[in-house]
Amino acid sequence: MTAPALLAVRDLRTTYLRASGPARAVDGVSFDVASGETVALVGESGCGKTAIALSLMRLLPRHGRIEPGSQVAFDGRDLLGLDERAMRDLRGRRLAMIFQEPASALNPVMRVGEQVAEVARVHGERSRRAAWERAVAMLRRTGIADAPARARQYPHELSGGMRQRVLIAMALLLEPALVIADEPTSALDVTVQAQILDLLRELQRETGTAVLFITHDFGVVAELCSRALVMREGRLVEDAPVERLFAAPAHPYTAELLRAVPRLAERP
Amino acid sequence: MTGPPLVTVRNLTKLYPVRRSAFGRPTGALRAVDGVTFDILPGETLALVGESGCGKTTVGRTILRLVEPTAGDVRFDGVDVRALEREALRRMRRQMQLVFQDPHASLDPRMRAGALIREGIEAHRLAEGAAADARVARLLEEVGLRATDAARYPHEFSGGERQRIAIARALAVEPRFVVLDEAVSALDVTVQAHVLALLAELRRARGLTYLFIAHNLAVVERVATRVAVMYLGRIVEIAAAERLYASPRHPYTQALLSAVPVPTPGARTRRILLTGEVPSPTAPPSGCAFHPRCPHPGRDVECTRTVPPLEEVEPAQLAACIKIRRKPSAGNESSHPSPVARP
Repeated sequence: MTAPALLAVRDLRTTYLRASGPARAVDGVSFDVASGETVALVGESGCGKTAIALSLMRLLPRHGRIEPGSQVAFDGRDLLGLDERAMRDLRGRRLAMIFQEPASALNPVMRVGEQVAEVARVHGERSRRAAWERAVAMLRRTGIADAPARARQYPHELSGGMRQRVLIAMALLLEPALVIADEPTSALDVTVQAQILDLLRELQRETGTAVLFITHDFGVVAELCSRALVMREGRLVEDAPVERLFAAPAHPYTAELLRAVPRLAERP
Repeated sequence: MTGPPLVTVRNLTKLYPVRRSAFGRPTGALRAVDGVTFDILPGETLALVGESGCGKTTVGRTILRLVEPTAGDVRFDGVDVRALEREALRRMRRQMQLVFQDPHASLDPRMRAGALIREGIEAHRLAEGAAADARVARLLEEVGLRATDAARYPHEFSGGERQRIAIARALAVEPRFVVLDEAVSALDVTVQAHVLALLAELRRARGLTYLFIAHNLAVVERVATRVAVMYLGRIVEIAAAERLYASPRHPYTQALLSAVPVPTPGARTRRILLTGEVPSPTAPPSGCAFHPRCPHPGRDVECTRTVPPLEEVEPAQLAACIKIRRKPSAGNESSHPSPVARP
């Protein structure tokens, strides 16, 4: 890779202040994501995957802190040095996030079409009507049948799979350079998960967006990602192309995880 | 695994009234379970799988009579569970236990692990005093914890350990039958593997029978002897586990299996992608409830009219689809189509 990475994370340390004292959630993590690449961030609960996502989005809760010395370059800019205003401009336009729980990530009292349109308006679309049309077109692209009618509905009127499509529409509307997807299919049924994974793959091919895919599911890693970062207790224990990771895991923890993964017997 | 079934379920139906009119009168019904029939044989692990809202949890609760069925028959060891009065039901409950998905929610946070396990022992007068303490200690060790853990509170344990406590609590009253409702679904894979191994070991050691309710087909394959697949309140296929995984016959089972992400790069060959989502159980489609999403090439107007019966399509494999071509009957069993696949 000769071109500089789209995202370069160096020695990222994130701390949560708790009643019992500071807890290191991310402990010196370094990795790159190239343009258009799909990278998995895998590990078990509490390993720091989500803390990395929130650090990169600069959306840590108030008791969370990125330690001095951490470096994140995104799009050639020093992400951690940006003020909140510059960060707001970046979020949605160049860098977006898809959350696990679409029910809580959406505003319950706002029509879903408005919520998608708002992304366009915040980033300079002056005409309400044009923003709405873009929202409906994007909802249609995510496979929502009868998008103009659905756009007028509220989140509770949609199924879980449909709400996740709305979140994907919001994240990809402005064709950002990088999307961080935090367990976007974990709350969905398996047949709906298959649809959403297909959709993400297809939209990614069309837009060339890079994806940092946070998951605990090695099936999803194998099917969607080209490279995987394995985390344990705040540290990165392995960074490898997916084929190599599955065929010959270098770290004993990766091997242990892979042995534990329930898998269907290979069928004809 | 011979002898009469431990649990028999016949035409089990559970409707929930749905209020829609302005006066709060029920104007419709949610068909959570719609005429389900199966047996559970002593010593087996029958898995009940399906996507959210398919009715699998309701079936489990109805067997334990935590939910009253609308219609149908449930027998445990030959006894009509629906006819039991309070005291008899209480005694019966000792033999049938339930382990939930979320031990955080099912274990009282103010009680120590020992007291949680002891509760059932005392309620059923199985032991008291020092003898009860000894039982608690033995149970903790049996599920892979230490006897000294009896003094700790639920929040002091990890998720996997809490699930072990929930299992010890269920086993404390020496049940014969345990309903495991998504019992390992919330656990990380390494922890999940250990708890699954523990459940298998306990089944062998204590001669338990399990109803294993789960949505993850790969987890089910590790533990089940037989598998029943549910869709919108009905069983669409039931067969011995090896058979169901090796040659699923119902189009829904085929799609469900093909949707599971394969943890081997490049292994995915073909996926049956279903369109749309599961329809609402308040207005299930006519005929075969799966027909609007069915990828079967032979699907036609007949599917929208006929409710497909659950019939034998191979020896010991039943499926509910009128488009499956049956193998010529082997003879003897066809005279009275059995509602259950015998392993």
